[in-house]
Parts: sequence; C-alpha cells; structure tokens
Amino acid sequence: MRMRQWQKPFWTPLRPLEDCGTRYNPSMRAQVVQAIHDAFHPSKVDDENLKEVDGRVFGSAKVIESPVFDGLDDARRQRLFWEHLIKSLGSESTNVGPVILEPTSRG
Amino acid sequence: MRGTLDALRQSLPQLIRVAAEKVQSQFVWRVDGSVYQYTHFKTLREMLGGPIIKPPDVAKPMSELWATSSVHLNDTNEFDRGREVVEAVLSELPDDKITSRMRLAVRDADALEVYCTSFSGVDDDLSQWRGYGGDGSGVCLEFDLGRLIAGLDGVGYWLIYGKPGNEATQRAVAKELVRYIHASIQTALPSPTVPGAVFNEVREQLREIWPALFLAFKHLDFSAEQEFRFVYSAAVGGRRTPAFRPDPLVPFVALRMRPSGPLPIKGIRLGPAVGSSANIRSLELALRELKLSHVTVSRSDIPYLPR
Repeated sequence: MRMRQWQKPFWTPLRPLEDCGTRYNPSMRAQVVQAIHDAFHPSKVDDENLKEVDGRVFGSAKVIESPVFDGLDDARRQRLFWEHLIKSLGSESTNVGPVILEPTSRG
Repeated sequence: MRGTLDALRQSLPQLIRVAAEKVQSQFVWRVDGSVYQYTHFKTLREMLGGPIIKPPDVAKPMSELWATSSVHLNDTNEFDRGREVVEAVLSELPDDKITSRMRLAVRDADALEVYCTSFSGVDDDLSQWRGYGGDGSGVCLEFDLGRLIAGLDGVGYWLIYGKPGNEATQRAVAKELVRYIHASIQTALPSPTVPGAVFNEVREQLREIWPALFLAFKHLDFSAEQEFRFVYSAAVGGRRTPAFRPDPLVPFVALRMRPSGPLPIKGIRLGPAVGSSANIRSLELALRELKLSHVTVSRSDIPYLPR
C-alpha cells in the first residue's frame, strides 16, 4: 500500500539537497567555525550569532580564550582567519562573510 | 553595520585573491618565497640609520618601510584605472539603494591619504634597476613574503593588470568583488525598514574602502613588474599623521611589523654600478655591527653600466 506523505517517517528526506539545483553547502557554517579554530586555537568558539542564509554564512563569532587571537589586531585576525578559510573552502570562500571576530574577556 | 564593514575592509586582500583565482584558474597567488624592492642606495642608508651610520646609536635599523601617498605613484592614471573598472561593473548589479550608495561612494573616494609601498616578484631585473634602483646604482632588498603578509601594517595583494580593450580579467575580478560587497551590505542591513541614516553610513564607509580596492588594478603595460603592493589608509589600520619627504613634497607613513621587530629582509643585492667587492664587504660589516648579520649581501649578475 502506498504511504501518504504524512504517514512517512519524519526523517525521510524528500529530495537530497544536491538535487535541488542549488550550491548550498550544508557544512559551510561548520567549516567557518573550524577555520576559526584552526587559526586561533581557542578553547571555544561562541557561534550563536553566526548565521547561514541561502548558502551564505555571515554574522559574528566570539573567540574565547585564545592567546593567538588576543595578540593580534583586527586586521591581522581577519588575515589569519581568511588564510585558513581559503585553505578549506577555496573559491567558495566568497560565500562567507564578512564575519566579525569578537574577542571575549576572560572575566 | 559598522562591524560588518570593518570586517569587510580587513578581508579585502583575501577577497581579491579569491576573486582572482576564481576568474583565472592559472593565476598563482603566491603567499611565500621572496618579493623584491628596488630602491636608491640613500634609502638603504636611511633604513640603516641615516646619512652617517653610527651602529651603537641606531635604535631600530631596518624596522620600517615608507609607504607613499598614492597620488604620487609612477603610473599617473593608476587610481583612476581602478575607479573606471569598478564603476563599469557596478552597472551590472541590481539597481537598488545599496548599488546607488556604492556608486556615490566611488565618486567620493580620494587617493591622497591612501599610502602604498610596492614590491616586484622579479629578482635582479634590468628594467627594475633602471626604473627604481637608481639606474643600476641602487639596491634590491629581498623580503620574505610570508612574514611580510603576516606582520606588516596594511593590506597586501598582487595586482591585477589590464587596459581598455584588454580588460576582461580586471572586470571579472572587479565584478566578483562588487557582488560580494553588495551581498555583504544586504545581509547586514537591519530589517524590515532601513533608515536613511544607515545608507548614509554605507556610503561614508565605502568611500574609505574603495581606494584600497581601486589600487588592486593597474595598467597592463606595467605587468612585467609583477607587483605586490601593501596599501595603508585610515580605513585599513586607523589614521596616522603623515610625514613629508622632498621631491618636492610627498606625504608618506611608516609601516612596521607586528610584533615589532626588523623587517623580514633576507638579502640585499647591490646594483650593477655599485656591486664592487669593497661595497659588498663594507655593507656586510655595517650589517654585522647593526646585529643584522643574517641579511646576505650579493651583487647583480647583470653586466650593465649606466651612461
């Protein structure tokens, strides 16, 4: 017997994303966070305000407890972050940002 | 909005790189190895301590590079070339309020307080000696590019060459960049309604961002120089009071490394006209006394004698 749409298990994907004719990369946000980790080796990245809309990742991330990050000015932080971003995303990097990298005080 | 645009301007060199690589798959954006700066011998002396070098009195030899106001560049159309390219591709963006502010900011942009220092990807090159190295009586400083990019003030990038009638690459790169900027502003706009003041701020901020972007484009006839350039402006690293050097009055700012220390100079090559053994040994002695003995000294291999 054929199942109705509402009877299908809720986790059944109707169509894989790559078939939707879009370049949407579901892991891009994760790769942005990974690039922050690789660049600054923080104890944690607070990515609550990092958004992903229509395949574009933007917003801000807090880099928590990173001596590397704390030792650089804003321009050099962005330089290092992008270096790692380009390594992992290549030309897709233009779907990222700008990402504001925020410091956090250790209290 | 301000935070987004700050992050945008600091990402500029990397964006230019990604756009260039996207447009030209064979484009090699080098981030290591060496770049070279051809200059006059007197500039080297200034870097080592002044007209008379007294090693114990020299506090920080070879610790700064002078970046010159971009209105004094040797390609007199340079800033305008970039402006033309960007202006042309703006017409391909959606005709909305953001594009309108981008266009207005292009007209507002000014080159005076945007400072440049230039390097070449070519070692020991006769046309470079003739053009910048005192016609063979100057020096060529070899820099470690990776350390320069990581540490020097400002934004550094390789130039994209083109000219009217042969500008497909420049336009394609510029198109990628203006699209990115447009999308960035769009995502940062408050919703649902955007106050006019926000658009005014966009225009104001872009007025500061554009010059660093314009200067990424240069006339094709200079392409043999393979130029890598550092650009500094208030938008890129905060405003600095300029100093002024003669010829007859050229504004410049000093760029330094962070953390502070000597510039990543690996070697000094003496020009064909000054590469005598006596000069080489004297320079080696000066470097040793200044605790810069890691810098190698050599002479040009070109058999050129200026007349």
